[in-house]
Order: sequence, then C-alpha cells, then structure tokens
Amino acid sequence: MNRRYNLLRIDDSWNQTVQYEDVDIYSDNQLMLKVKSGDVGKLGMLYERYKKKLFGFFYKMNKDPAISEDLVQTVFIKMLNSRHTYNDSGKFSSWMYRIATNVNADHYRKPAMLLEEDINQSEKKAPCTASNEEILGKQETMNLLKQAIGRLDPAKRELLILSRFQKLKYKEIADIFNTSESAVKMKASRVIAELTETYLKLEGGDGYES
Amino acid sequence: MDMKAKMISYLTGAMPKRNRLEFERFIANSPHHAEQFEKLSTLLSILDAEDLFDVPEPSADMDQSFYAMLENAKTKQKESYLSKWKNYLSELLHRGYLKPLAFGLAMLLFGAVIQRQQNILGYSDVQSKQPNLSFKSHPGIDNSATMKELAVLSLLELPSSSKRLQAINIIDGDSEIQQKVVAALLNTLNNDPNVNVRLTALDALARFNSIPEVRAGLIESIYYQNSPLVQISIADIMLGLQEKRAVMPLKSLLEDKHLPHPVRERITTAVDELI
Repeated sequence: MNRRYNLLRIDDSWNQTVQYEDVDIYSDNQLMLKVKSGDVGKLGMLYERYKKKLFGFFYKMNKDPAISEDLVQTVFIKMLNSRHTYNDSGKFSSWMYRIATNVNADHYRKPAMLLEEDINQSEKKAPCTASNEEILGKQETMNLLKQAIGRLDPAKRELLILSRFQKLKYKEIADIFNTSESAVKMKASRVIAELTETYLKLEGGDGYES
Repeated sequence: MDMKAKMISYLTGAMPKRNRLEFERFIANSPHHAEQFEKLSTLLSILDAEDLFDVPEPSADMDQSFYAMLENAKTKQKESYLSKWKNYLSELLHRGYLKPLAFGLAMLLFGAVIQRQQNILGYSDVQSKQPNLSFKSHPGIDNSATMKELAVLSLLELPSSSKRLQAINIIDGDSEIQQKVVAALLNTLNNDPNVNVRLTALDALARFNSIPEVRAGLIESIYYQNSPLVQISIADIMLGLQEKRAVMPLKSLLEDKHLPHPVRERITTAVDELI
C-alpha cells in the first residue's frame, strides 16, 4: 500500500515534466564545469533552467514553435560537444547565448529569404485596416510594433530581442558578441531608431523633426 | 545627432550622464519635442512591458528529445572510458609492463585478504557486545563511531541541501562505513527532497555495494524514486551488479504510464538483461 502511494506521487510529479528540486544549490558555472569534467548528466539541470528562455528567444526570432524546439536542442548538443572549451571566466548565460546566436545565424543562413517572408506574412495576419478600426490604442500599437520588428533584418532583430525581451544587460550582450558595451549601446540605439522609423511609416506618420 | 537620435539615446541609456541633464532641460522647454518624446517613450515602454510575441509553452517532445540525446551522450561517454582503458591495457601489454603489474595487483589482493580476515575476527568480538543493532552487521561495516562519521550524521540532519551534500562527500569510498551512516544514507536516498543529494547518496552507497545491507537497501529504495536521473542511475547500478532481485522493483517503475520514454527504455533494457 505504501509503495502504491509512492507510485501515485510519481504520477503527479510527471505531469509537470522532469522536476529538479532545489537545483539552485549549484551555480550555472559550477554545473557546466561538472559537465566539462565528465558529469554530463548535469546538463539536464542547465536544460531545466534555460529551456524556456532559449525557446522564447528562438520563437521571437522565427515564430515557429517546432523550429524553435529544434534550435533549443541544437544549442544543448553544441554545448555538450564544445564543453571542453568552457571556462568559468565569464557568465554561463553569455556563453550559452553566444552558442544560441550562432545557431540562430546558421539557421537564417540557410533559407534566409523564406524566413523573412514567413515572418512578414505572420505579422500581416492582423493588419490595421479601416474595417477593424475599433481595435485601437495599445493593441494597434502592438500589432504595428510586431510588423516593424518583423521588418528588421535578423541580426538587428536578434539584438533587439536580446536587449529588450530577453532582458540581457548591454555588458552581457557585449560578452556574447565579443565587443564593447558602448558599441552595443550604440547599435541598440540605432536598431530602436530604425524600428520607430518603420513603426511610424506603418502608422502613416511623418516621423520626427531633426 | 538629430533630435530623434538624441531621444532614443536618452531612452535606451546610451546618452552619457553629462548630456542627460541638458537634454532634459531642452525637452522641458520645448512642448513640441516633449510631445514627440512622450510618444517615443510610450512606444519603448510597450516594447519593455508587453509580451508582444505571446510565446507558447514548449511541447513535451522537446524534453523527450533532449533527455534521449543526454542518455545517448552518457552511453557514448561510458563506452569511450572503456575503450580508453582497453587501449591503456593493450599498451601496457605491448611494452611488457603487464607481468610486474600483475604481481603488484596480486600482492595488493593478498594484503586485502589478510586485512579482511583480521576484521572478521575483530568484528565478532564487537558484535557479541552489541546484540540490539537495528540491522544485521557485516564485516565491511565498522561499528566504531569516528569523528568523521559523527560529522556525517549531524550534517545530514541539517535543512541546507548543500550541507547534506557536503556530509555525503565526506564519506570515503576506500574506508569502512559505520552501520548508522549506511542507515542515514539510505534514508537520505529514499526521502531527501533534493535530487542532487539523493544522487550523491546513491553514488556513495554504490561504493559499498559489497555489503549485503547496502544492496538490500538499494533494491528497496527503487520503489521510492521519482527522479529520472536517480531512476536511471539506480537501474544502471543494479545492472552493473547483476542484481536480479532488482527486477521486481524496476518493473514496478514501468507501471507508471507517465514515465518518460528514455527512462522507460533504459529500465526496460536493465530488466531484460537482468532476467
């Protein structure tokens, strides 16, 4: 009877996929160093910590859940294969996002044109026309912003997503791209400028005065 | 720099501190630019605050694929360790080092047998003085409580999981183990809320697999495990020990219809090979 109870408890926990209780006792760096030293099972803990963030990053780039899941898998395979190159001098997440941005770049390199079309198509699903003028205000702004983001080229969209949506600090983005923090700030400003320009064009405005 | 670029530079934090105050004064004195600035600021705050993309939850397939990949990587790693040892041994053989090595090992084994005999004699004496032990004692179990063992037992009681991990890491696989420590480790393996602590306890216990009580405890503990890592590890250990008594508890894990595919596959393989 006691054993049956334990099995039922197992059922409950499995409904929420794999659970790692209290995994915070190891830092990301400690876990990755364990993976590097041969305890590859610890990669499972890093996966549980970062799977949603990475999935969100890829999904915001390509809007395709299946492709995003494949890309998350690719990131972890690459992390495993290149574990010998890991050192704990920087943040683990910077190293992980560096791999993720490379995986993302590889993905866009293949069918670049197609992907651009897909994103623009998906953004056009809710156009701002006279027939749906009742959907105003914030919702309209959001739709136009999504369209404007879809029109950015992948590298700029990636920078925007990392800085504004993944909430990475400029310093961390600088580490990922092996550049300076000030260079990232400048690029981010330019991307925002281009985004607002596109947004205003979509909105039908005249832009800003110099 | 045009006004729009300045506004964005200010809003994104790229504008140097020394220029920010001057910019704020300018905006405060120019209602026209203030209106444009307000619009831009609202736009950026929507970017920051709203979940524009409505990201769905990743599917269970992603977990399945990842854990299958991880299991595959673990298997490959074990195989590579084996082949490394094989290469090392063949190199020793090739260089003619095997004979002296075999002699050394034989001497080591002889020493271990002598030590064991001495332990058995000493142990019988201790057992006759302590008849009310919680479970049957064994020559591998040292009944004398050392400072190290007391430290292990007290650290295992602490609420901090890192302290409990530290406790288990104190245990040296080469020395003897006190029966109270075995009982505490089994209790940790079955009931600790932290999967890392349970895994570490399992590793520690597996080093003492020659002790019958440890083996029996490990078999019994299969029923208590709900973490895939512990389930797979314990199945591997049972397979390594060729412990046929583990077949029933392992089969009971397979009754769980939500058992992830890689875990099910691994346990099924272990059961098939044990039968």
